[in-house]
Amino acid sequence: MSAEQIIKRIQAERKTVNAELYNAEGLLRLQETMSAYEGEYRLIWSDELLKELENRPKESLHATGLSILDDVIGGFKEQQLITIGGHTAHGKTQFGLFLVEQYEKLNPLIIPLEQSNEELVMQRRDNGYSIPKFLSPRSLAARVTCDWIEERVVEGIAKHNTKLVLIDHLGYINDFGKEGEFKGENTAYRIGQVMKGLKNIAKKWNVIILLLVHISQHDEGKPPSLEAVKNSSDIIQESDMVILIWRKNTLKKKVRVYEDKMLVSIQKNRRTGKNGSIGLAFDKLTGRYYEENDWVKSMEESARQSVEAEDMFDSL
Amino acid sequence: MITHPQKVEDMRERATLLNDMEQDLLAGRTKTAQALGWYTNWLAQKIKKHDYSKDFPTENYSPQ
Repeated sequence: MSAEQIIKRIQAERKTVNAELYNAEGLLRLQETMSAYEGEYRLIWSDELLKELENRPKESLHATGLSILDDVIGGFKEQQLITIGGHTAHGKTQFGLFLVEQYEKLNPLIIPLEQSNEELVMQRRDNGYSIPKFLSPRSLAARVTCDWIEERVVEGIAKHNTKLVLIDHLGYINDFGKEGEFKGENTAYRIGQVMKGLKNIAKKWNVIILLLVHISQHDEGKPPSLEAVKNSSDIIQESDMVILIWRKNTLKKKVRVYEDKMLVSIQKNRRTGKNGSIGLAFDKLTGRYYEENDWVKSMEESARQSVEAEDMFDSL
Repeated sequence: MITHPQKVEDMRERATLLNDMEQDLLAGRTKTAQALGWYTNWLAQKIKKHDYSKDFPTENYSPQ
């Protein structure tokens, strides 16, 4: 090999080594910076976190006022995104309004996207029901986005110290992203982004968000399960709690007859992990719900017996 | 450990040595270049195969 060839090889090698060195020095600088990092996003050990939590003043849970429900969920707390799902005409809005009335002290804000605020108030007035005290936007934007909802939440907090927000319902939030970046994405993806946006609002502004959602068509004669929640698995994933409601009904001569009894089923509960179902009855005089659990117990008992009977049959 | 400081130091040294070798060869100092070449190759092997994590004073990096 001639000296010229050797020099060429060395030059090529030097080029490679310099490039590798550049990368390695960058990593080393990053490593040194991160080892001294004490900022807001620093990593902390779980025992340190526990100590911090123990020194923090105890968080207060906001009880719903329904003792059996409170036994299961322990009440709602700020920063939670609570999804309430149910069929059309099964009482989602009424149940939402009932909760708003229970939480009047939290200066609730309603974002009424399905029925207008005027309709909500007039309907209850015409039926002679109590009208809960709530805030709502004078008018709605042509396209309701998470940013628009966030502005209303901030207005509620700034003017009235709002702690609870009811959104009726998810299907009407039409968010394509700040620069329309989600426009080409499918519905499930866009709903996922909306759910993340709402969860972010709950956390950032320290409010409870009650989000009403529709569920897919299935046998209305049976209480729904989580699989019935429409369009995106992110709805369940991003929610801190998922409550499914079902209005008791029977099919009589091809006509569905609805009763004034409602099953409230806690299907997901991130805070305590406790699930359960409770029965409510609707008082037609006041438009309020009260607990009536006997029919739920007998329903659960007959479901248990039928499972046992199936098991016995299988073992034969 | 993402990158060991000693490894970066060895890489730096190798880059300098390659530069010196080139200068020596251009100036016709082949003997010196040869000696440097041996050391450069040895460093290349070290960078490639040596387990730098064993040199590291781990007690400084244990939690708390």
